[in-house]
Parts: sequence; structure tokens; C-alpha cells
Amino acid sequence: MMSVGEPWNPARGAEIIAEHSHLEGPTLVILHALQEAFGYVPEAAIPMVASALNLSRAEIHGVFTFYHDFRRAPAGRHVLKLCRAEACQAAGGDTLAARAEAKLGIALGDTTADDLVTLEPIYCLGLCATAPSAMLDGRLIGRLDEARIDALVAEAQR
Amino acid sequence: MTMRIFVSRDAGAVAVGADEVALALGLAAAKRGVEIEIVRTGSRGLYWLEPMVEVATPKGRVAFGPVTEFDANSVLDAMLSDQPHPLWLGVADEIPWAEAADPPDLRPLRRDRPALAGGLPRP
Repeated sequence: MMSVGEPWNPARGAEIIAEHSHLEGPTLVILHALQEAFGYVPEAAIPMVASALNLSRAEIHGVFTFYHDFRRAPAGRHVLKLCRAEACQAAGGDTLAARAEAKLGIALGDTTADDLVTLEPIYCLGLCATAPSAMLDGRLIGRLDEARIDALVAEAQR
Repeated sequence: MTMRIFVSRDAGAVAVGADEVALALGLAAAKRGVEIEIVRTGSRGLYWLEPMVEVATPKGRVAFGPVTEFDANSVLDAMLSDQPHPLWLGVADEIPWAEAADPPDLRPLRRDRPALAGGLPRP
């Protein structure tokens, strides 16, 4: 799963919105479709969605910001998510997160300057029994240790 | 007779290498000219033992775990020869787990559902 999308284009955005606005409960479907197409949900699309659904901008903004999987900017080519929730912290996740940050030269939440890797915190992948865990481009990995985190970082940098 | 081997395809098992183990078992069997059928199941929920691999025997399903792809050869040999193996866990249905911490009246519930999940092939 690569997270690179086509460049933002208002006409294409309007088309995507129109494609789904007849559905019941279309807000999330539209936001997903926009992110699928562009790799993120462009700021300019929010008022367009609001207008198409006859809702306020604040309502769409509220939904958009509630779900952290919706992006306001394009991600890197690979997205490495490290679980930072309690069980993974208890199993040594802090040290591994610091290691990944140091290897990539960025902090959690940032993208490398070459746009290759986005490093993100995530709050529970449901793999507490095999903590610490991570997700690379949608693939789950449990029982992380230094060697595995190094391998994941190297894979993301390829 | 084709030997039936069970490997979980639950997300938690896959996250710790179940797919690689299934692949390695297939290769190990091909190398030995042994016919096996790998059935991907749900997990019994014994995540500290995943990837857990089971083989159908007259005694019931005998489990090994946690198995890595590097153990595939030796585990398959142990299955074929019925010889001891460091990862041998015994009959899967008889593995005691979490019993000490469970109130007795919840035991049947907690044991049955994961056992079902581990027992059934998943599409």
C-alpha cells in the first residue's frame, strides 16, 4: 500500500464528491475517497464537501479531524506506524520509537525530507499480546525488537 | 496419506510470522517429497505460542510453538517421525492456559471459543 496520490485538482475533487453524495451517511465515504485519490484530504475540499451535503464546514471539519487516519498533507511513500499505547510502552516501545526516530532523523508525526518515510504514532493495533507492535504500509508486525525495528526502517527507506 | 497441518491466519499470528512459517513448511515438505495439506485457521488465542503449528494425529492435533520459518524443517521432521522437539506443546486441546487467573465458571466459555476459532479453516 503506497500512499502517493494524484495532485489536487478541484474538478476531480468535485467529481469524487458527486460520485458519493447520494449515499446515506456520505461524509466518511467521501473523505475516504478523497484521501484514496489524492493521498490526503486537501483543505480546499472541506468546503466543497460541506456545500455538496448541505452541511456546515465545521461539521465536515469536525469529522475530518476526529479520525487521525485522515491526512491534511500527503504522507511519504511508506508509512511506518509505531504503537505507542500502554501495552507496547510497557513492553519497551519507548526505546524502539526513539531508535526509529534516530535512524530516520525525524520525530514521530514527521516525514523524511526525501518524502520516503512517514513515521507515526498509533494508539493500539490490538496486538498487545505480542507487543511491541508496528504497521508498515498496512502490514502488521508484532514482537518488535531492535533488529526488527532496524529491518522495518531499512525496508521503509528502500 | 496426506498429512494435515494447521497454521493460523489470524492477524496476530501473521504479525509474528505465520505466513513465513506456512511457506517454509510447504518448502520443507516438497524437499522431502512428503505430501502435506496446510489449513489456515483462526487463532486459538494463545498468542505467546504463535505462530503455533498443529498436525492432525490419531491422538488429536499435536501443537508446536512458537515456530519460526527457521524451525520448519526440524518441526516437520518431528511431525513425521513422532520424535521429541523443543517446541512440542502436546495435544492442542489439552494445553492449559490462563486457568489460574480465571474464575472457574468462566473457564468453559474462555476455552471453547478460541478452540473453535483455532479449529476451523478460514476462507
